[in-house]
Amino acid sequence: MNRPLKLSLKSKIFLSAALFYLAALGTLTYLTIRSHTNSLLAQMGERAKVGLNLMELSVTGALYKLDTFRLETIAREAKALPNVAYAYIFDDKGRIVGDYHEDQRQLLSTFTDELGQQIVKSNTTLLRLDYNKELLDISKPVNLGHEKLGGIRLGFDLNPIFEDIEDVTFKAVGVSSSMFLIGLGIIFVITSKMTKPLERLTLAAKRIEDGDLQHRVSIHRDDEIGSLATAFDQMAERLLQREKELKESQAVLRRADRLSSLGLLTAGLAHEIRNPLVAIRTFTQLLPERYDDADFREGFQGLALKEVDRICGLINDLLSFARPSKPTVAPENINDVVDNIARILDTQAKEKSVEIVRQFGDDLPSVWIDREQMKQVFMNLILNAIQAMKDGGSIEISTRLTAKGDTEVIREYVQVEVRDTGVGIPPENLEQIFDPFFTSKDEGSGLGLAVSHQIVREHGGFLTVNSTVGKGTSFFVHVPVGKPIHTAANGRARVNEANLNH
Amino acid sequence: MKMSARALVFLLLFQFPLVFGGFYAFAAGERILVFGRVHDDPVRSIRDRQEFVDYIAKKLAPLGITGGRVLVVEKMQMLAQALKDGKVDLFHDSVVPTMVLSKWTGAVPILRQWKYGEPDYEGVIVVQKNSGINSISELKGKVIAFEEPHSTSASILPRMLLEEKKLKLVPVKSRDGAKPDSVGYIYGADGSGVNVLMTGRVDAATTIPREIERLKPEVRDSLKVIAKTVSVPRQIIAVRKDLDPKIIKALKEILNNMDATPEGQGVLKRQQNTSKIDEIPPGSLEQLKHITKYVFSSLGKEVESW
Repeated sequence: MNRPLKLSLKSKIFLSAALFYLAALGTLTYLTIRSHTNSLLAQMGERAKVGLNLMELSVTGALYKLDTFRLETIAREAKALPNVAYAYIFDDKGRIVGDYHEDQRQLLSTFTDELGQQIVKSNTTLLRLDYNKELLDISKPVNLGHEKLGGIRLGFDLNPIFEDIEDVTFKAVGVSSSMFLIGLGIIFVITSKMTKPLERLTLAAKRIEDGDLQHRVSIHRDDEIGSLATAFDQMAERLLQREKELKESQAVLRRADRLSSLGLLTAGLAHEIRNPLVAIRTFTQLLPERYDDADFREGFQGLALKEVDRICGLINDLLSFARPSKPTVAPENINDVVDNIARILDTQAKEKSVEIVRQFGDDLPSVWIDREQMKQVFMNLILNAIQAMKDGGSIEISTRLTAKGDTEVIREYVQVEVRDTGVGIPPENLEQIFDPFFTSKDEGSGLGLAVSHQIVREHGGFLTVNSTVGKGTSFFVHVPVGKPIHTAANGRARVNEANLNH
Repeated sequence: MKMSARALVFLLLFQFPLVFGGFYAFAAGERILVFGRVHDDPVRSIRDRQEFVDYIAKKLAPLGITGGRVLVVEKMQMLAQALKDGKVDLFHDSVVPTMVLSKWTGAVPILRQWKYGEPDYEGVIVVQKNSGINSISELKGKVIAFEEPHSTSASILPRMLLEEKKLKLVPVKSRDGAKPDSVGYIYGADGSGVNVLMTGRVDAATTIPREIERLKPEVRDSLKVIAKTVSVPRQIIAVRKDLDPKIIKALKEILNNMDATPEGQGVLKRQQNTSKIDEIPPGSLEQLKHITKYVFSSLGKEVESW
């Protein structure tokens, strides 16, 4: 398959200028050679006419008298003219009455060639160039009074002219070639000077696009490119400011989302903490009475420690979720992250008669993620699933390795599917569910899916949904496999361009 | 020699048809007025006269003349033949050639042409100032240079003058050939007797006053005119004897009136700087007959070679 040739701006400008220069130089060279050729041929023609006219002066009287001795002499003298190949003097009937020819004399005969017959009949000067024979043939009638006495026909060898033209052509092409090469060098320098700032601008735009909003082009020139660079730097500065503001907003949103999630967790956690505490309280009340019962004390000690550890674990999980953390991208096992969140939500799910089923894929590769951020994603998805099933049901969390992409770029992703058996999402809401503050529930802030979508995108992945009303909904989190190309200024992993387009 | 043989072949093949067969006066549907001229330079002769002949022919168109042509021959005999054959209608020349041709062919002198603006002219005999010769009688034993033999002013008239003075003319080859009882004569090799005189090859020479005036002042001042001939018409126009009288009449009218129009004046001026053409003065005709008689009686067979 032929792919269209991709050329840089520099190459395009250079090639365009070079082609234009080549065309201009070529045209100029061609015109110069042509002009020189025409000039030489014109000079030859003029010289031939002068020779013809000079001959006519002496031929006329002799032709009138048909002084053949004189005509012969004149014809022979014609060879003194430069480059003369032949000379003929003919009478009014076209008979050659005086001639000079190096190869073959034609005295008393008539011209047999077509041009010769035309010359005999002509009443004007005829000039013809025969490039094949390298001859210039010129002829004119000789008249006296009203009488045509005959005519003169001269042939001039064009070989010396052609040699001259060849020499000039060679020199012109040589000079033009040298000028072309010098011109190419100059064009290259000019093109480089012209496009270098643009290349810097392009590079800067790329870096800014990749998140390096600190980068500046810093081109100081008093022309349009200088103005463009200044505007670019100013734009980058504003982008940096906007980015900062956006991050702050996102942080606020995420915190709000976390707090919202925490609120939803509170009931479950309270129940989870109260049960161990009730058990510890009961044992503690019974302890004075059964202090001497060694089995009781051992049982009490084991139970208390177990329940306290469980409470501590829950509190740690809660704290780790609720506590703002610095963005950190590191290779993680996605199953651990998902399982951690599922564990937190298990109690709450049970209260709603929802069963969380885990079907984690084995030997999944590590993914470069911000663990805390991704936990928030899964928290949101599982909480949404629990809330979608008022009458209970099941949430199936599965992980697998998959590949996505177009024909040119195919990447591997770790896919996490959170599938519920809830009410489903009406089609008209599907396009809006990732919009901030959009919610179809009585509870919740409407930030969960928007924040989750943002986080997944920042990881170079994408979040999709598949839902059927009355049957349930599946959310698919795709996280790219492999080390991110670089880390954005905000600490998020950035994998590649393609992933951002989902 | 080879070239000469070829030239002879050409002469046989082409010259005769051209000179004789080509001298056409009539052609199918055409009546060309042919003007004859004796000269060795046909190019100059034709170029000088074509306009003049065209002018006349155009004016004669009502009489059926469709064009004009100048025919140049090298010998008077050839022109005479053409006149006899009716292939030449008219010609002009100085007095002597015209009268000789008239005598040979019956051609009729009809008008006088004021060549170079002169109605008449005369011949002069000149010597070098330092020659010590003061009169033509002192030319006895000397050598004189004439111009071409049939020249009226520089040959025939001076010969007449010398012979009228009882001086015997004897042809010589050089200055040394002069006899004490006669005047030796040669013809100027290049057509100019003065040139021969100035180079010291002769003692006297013939020319015309106009030619003396054209000489460089230092040359002119070194010359002395010792005799003048009679004055004769500058140039005579003659027609062949059997030319249609209507055409002759019309010709005379046209030529006589040429100087009356700017166009005619221009054509005349470009034809040997002629100022006008008029009738031959009656006295001149007698004089011309006298000159003719002298030419044939004095020169005899020499005339036949002209």
